[in-house]
Amino acid sequence: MNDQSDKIQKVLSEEDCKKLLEKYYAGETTLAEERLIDEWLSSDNTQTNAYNPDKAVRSWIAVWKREYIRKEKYIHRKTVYRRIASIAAVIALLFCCSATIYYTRLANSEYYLAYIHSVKITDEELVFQQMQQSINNVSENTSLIDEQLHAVFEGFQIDE
Amino acid sequence: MRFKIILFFLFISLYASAQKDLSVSQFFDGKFNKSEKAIVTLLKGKKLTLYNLSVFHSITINDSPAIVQQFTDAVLSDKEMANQVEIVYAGDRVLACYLQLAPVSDDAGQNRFILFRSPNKDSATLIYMEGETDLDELIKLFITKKK
Repeated sequence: MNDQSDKIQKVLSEEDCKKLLEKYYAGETTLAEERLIDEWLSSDNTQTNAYNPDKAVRSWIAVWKREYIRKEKYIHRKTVYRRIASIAAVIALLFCCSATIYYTRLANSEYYLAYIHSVKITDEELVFQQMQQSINNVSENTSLIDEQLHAVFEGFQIDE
Repeated sequence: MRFKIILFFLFISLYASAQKDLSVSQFFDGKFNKSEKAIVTLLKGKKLTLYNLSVFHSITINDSPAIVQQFTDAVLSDKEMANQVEIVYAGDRVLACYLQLAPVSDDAGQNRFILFRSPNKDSATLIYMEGETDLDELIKLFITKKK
């Protein structure tokens, strides 16, 4: 504490500090000057009752400032959270709308595609040919059986 | 290109959802697209209305006896859920199987069909279709037309 007092005394005399206090009450001090006042008021030079009102004012201001900053931070945080929530809601809404539109379009879209031995084909005609080939593949057997049955029963007549 | 791939897989998943309760659905997830032994066709659109169909998805596989067996097992498993069944056997082996399945609940009116044929143990064709038609109509349309 003594070091601090000496340091302040080296920079400012008691007279200077009193002038600073006057300037402070006139609302004309800078933040750096206010810091100097605080340091001076907490130094050994001001341990008399004469400076108690000044100390009380500065203490009250310090408490009020802390509370103000805390509230400001709370309000700022609340605003930031609200902003984030709004942005998230808008993004979610946009995503849902896009997904719905996309899904609907996809469900109603046309698609003609084939992979022939890993080669991708998108030509509609070729894809339709391939579709026809697939149908032929599954129907070959039945027509063969029909033909065979027809051949077996050919010539038979049912007597009524 | 990346967008198209995502689009394709979304499309696959969309139709996989219609097949989700079926055993054959496992084969229509796109895994045969890059197979050298497979031919995959996937059609959806107005041009299929000619056949009263909305979706046509087929896989033809060659030189793959294990996969043919998997196809057969899956089709026989789905047979239990079918409304209409036509099976052709060659001895103990399933030569062909045609199934008509009930529509998926949220898509009433769209019947589902599975057509399967395996001319030998190494190759097979599996078709999944959806449409407002019935199995008799399809057989008449495809087979009679062919004859």
